[in-house]
Amino acid sequence: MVIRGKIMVMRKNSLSKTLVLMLIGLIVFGPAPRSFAQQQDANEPEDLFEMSLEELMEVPVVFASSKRLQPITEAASSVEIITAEDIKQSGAINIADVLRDVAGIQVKEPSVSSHAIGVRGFADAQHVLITLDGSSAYLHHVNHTYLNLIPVSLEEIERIEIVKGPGGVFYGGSAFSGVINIVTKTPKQLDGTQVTTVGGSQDTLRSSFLHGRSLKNWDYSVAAGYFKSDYTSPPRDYFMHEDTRTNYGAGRVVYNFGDKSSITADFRQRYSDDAISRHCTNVRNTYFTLRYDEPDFWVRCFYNKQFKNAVNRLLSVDDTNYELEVMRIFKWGKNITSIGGFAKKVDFIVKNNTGDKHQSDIEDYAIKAENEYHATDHFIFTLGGRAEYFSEVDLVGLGRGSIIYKPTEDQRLAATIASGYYLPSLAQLYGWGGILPFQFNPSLNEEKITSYELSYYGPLTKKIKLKSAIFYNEYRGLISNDFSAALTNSADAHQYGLELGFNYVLTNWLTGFANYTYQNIDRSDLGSLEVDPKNMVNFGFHAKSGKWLSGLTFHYVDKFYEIYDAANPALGRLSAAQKVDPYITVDARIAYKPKDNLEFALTAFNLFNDRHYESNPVGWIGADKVDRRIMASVTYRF
Amino acid sequence: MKIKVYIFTALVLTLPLGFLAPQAQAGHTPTHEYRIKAAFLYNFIKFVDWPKEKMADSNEPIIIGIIGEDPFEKAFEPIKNKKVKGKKIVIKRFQGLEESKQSDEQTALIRKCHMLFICASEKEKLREIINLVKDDGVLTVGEVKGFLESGGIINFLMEDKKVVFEINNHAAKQARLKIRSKLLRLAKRVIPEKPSNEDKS
Repeated sequence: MVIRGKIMVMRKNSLSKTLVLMLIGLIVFGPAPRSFAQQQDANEPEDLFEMSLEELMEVPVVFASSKRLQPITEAASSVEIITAEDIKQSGAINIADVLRDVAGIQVKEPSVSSHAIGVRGFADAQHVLITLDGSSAYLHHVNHTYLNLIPVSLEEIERIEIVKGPGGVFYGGSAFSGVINIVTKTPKQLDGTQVTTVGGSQDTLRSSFLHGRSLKNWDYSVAAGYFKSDYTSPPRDYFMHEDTRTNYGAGRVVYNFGDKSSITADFRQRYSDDAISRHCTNVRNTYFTLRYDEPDFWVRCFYNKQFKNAVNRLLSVDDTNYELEVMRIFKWGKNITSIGGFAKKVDFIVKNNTGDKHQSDIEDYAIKAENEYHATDHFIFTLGGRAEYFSEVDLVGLGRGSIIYKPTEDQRLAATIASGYYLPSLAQLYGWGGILPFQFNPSLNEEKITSYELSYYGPLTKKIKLKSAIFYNEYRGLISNDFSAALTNSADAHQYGLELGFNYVLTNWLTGFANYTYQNIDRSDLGSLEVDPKNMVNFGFHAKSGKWLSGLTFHYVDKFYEIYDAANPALGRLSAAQKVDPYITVDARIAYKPKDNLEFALTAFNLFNDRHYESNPVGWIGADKVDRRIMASVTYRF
Repeated sequence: MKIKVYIFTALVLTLPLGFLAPQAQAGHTPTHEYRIKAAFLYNFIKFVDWPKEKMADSNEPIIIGIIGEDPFEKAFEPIKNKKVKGKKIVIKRFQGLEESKQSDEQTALIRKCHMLFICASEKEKLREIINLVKDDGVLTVGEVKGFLESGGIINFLMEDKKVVFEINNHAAKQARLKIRSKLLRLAKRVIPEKPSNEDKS
């Protein structure tokens, strides 16, 4: 057996850079906000007593960082939360649009049926893990998450948790630059029936139905949704459709054993007649989850299958994933140790229409542990690690450590070092019978990342909250897949960046947010080519007056040179980097709520119609331009 | 095979940190959950009206009693100099009911409280404690299933690790307490003033 895994060791030069970055961070964040000083006098957290009942009921918690619910101020990684209310107020018609407001996230829309997400760069949709209630939506054949194909509707989402930086301790190889966990509403949270219908430009129609109830020890919910929209450009090939149509259905049953434990069965399926930038048809995504939960123990079994026909039925792809995860949390006073095991099996079959068949079976086993040590009321240390056996790469390991200073309940200053890896896809390892344009290589190793981050979260004043981070990432063995030779782990890179975000309450009827992202990457294969936008700016306002609500959001994305085919990740690297020009979008929404359970809304995306590309504009699967979209919606709850 | 040894050693080394954690530390540090619950108790005072005789003496503080094994520890420290409704807040801690009953003075002090948080350790004595204070205008608060059905007035629940609460407004009325509409509106469940078969849910 060849042992390829290596423990990542910080180089001397990177250590010094990290120390410099951390020093800068300390200087930047050093002038203590008002409440720091108060805290030192009182020596106890005071903020909770200043909160209203509504705020106390919504003190943010996060699951994704350490796979257990914890206060956001105690998370080992930098975390952002998008709530159900944020989603509703955004008027978004897909999950990707919801993510556009978040600092450090780049959203690409190659077409209305396909989106690629990047966290701190790498917006190729391969390097970010997307999970639904903690279960991976990731497919190993192209190492891609088809965000639009996840069987869930926007209205079913309770919150979206975004972990920035490697999240591999609990998620493994696919959580390279971040984790996005979509948390659905429980039947208790649904508690009734809700119907939403949205229609508008480009012949778009989106509707959803949700129903949830509790009956003694049983909870159940059902959900269904439909989406249809025209593409903004004519078909590029005879078999491509002019529009995309998709529907989904879901059902969940929960049996509660008293207060403390429960067993849940969740089945969901989405069918799309046209998807992934118009060259895949009959795409069926099926998820089945069976889990047993106790407060400090859970077992999760997950089945995720995708079947699709591609390129006018030139080939069919069948990717089946089985996951088993067991987690146990030990509490020693305030100190917490999480330890778990994970097993995954992937069966992948691709057939082409000449009868050729490729089959792969992957096995993936991991043990993971993290300890959270509360040294004092205000200092928390975390240290965690993961050892993973991945049948195609062998043994790999990673770790995460953080020091969290929490002067008050709602402040967090953290220094985090985390490592991660990206495991090569089956397409990169084995190709698919010569269909893909690059030359595969079964000897590919994992790509590696080591991330150093200093982050702050907390109030600046009573009305303004600051969320900021500086980070430095080192990459080793990036797969440099040019088309002239077999793929190799030949590229290294380093990246640094800054995220600065503010949430503010201007008056009791006007709130808003603003954030700025700077990121810069140097790659050994591409030099300082701006493969990610260097600057991104988002800001917005939300106003509420009586029965009226309104919002205005602004996004600016700097130019960048796309190197990966975000429209179809199976195709890998583009033969030449394609420039995507900077663009600005302004979105506006106005809603009227005549009753608590009824809302009418009108939303305009890209209000000033800056027709722009967000992804590679050329080639057979070039991106569509993003146009203005005006939508009317009605939501009724009973 | 060295690399395997390193990784497994790192994992194994991670764990003992938890075991080594000084237990005494936990004894002085309220958990996040109880800091939030303490803030809720503080907020409840603003939305509850007590009988006149209970609030007549403007020099008397508002007393929050905690009976049983106290999980709050220092969680109330930040409000030691604060006033609500023009009154200072005093926290009084009582041992379990069995111990408290042995002293008339302790029993009288319990009945004098404005709010009584009944800790989970007193689960078996719920009805007895509630009966002890039912005629004294005491807002009883608990955190166990069936608290409202036992005659308690406000009960904390955990939902998705967020603290929420439910209210027995019928019991509040019997205790001559008026719970304001905002608090009732935010409750996850309300047993209405006049008993009926269907609770609001």
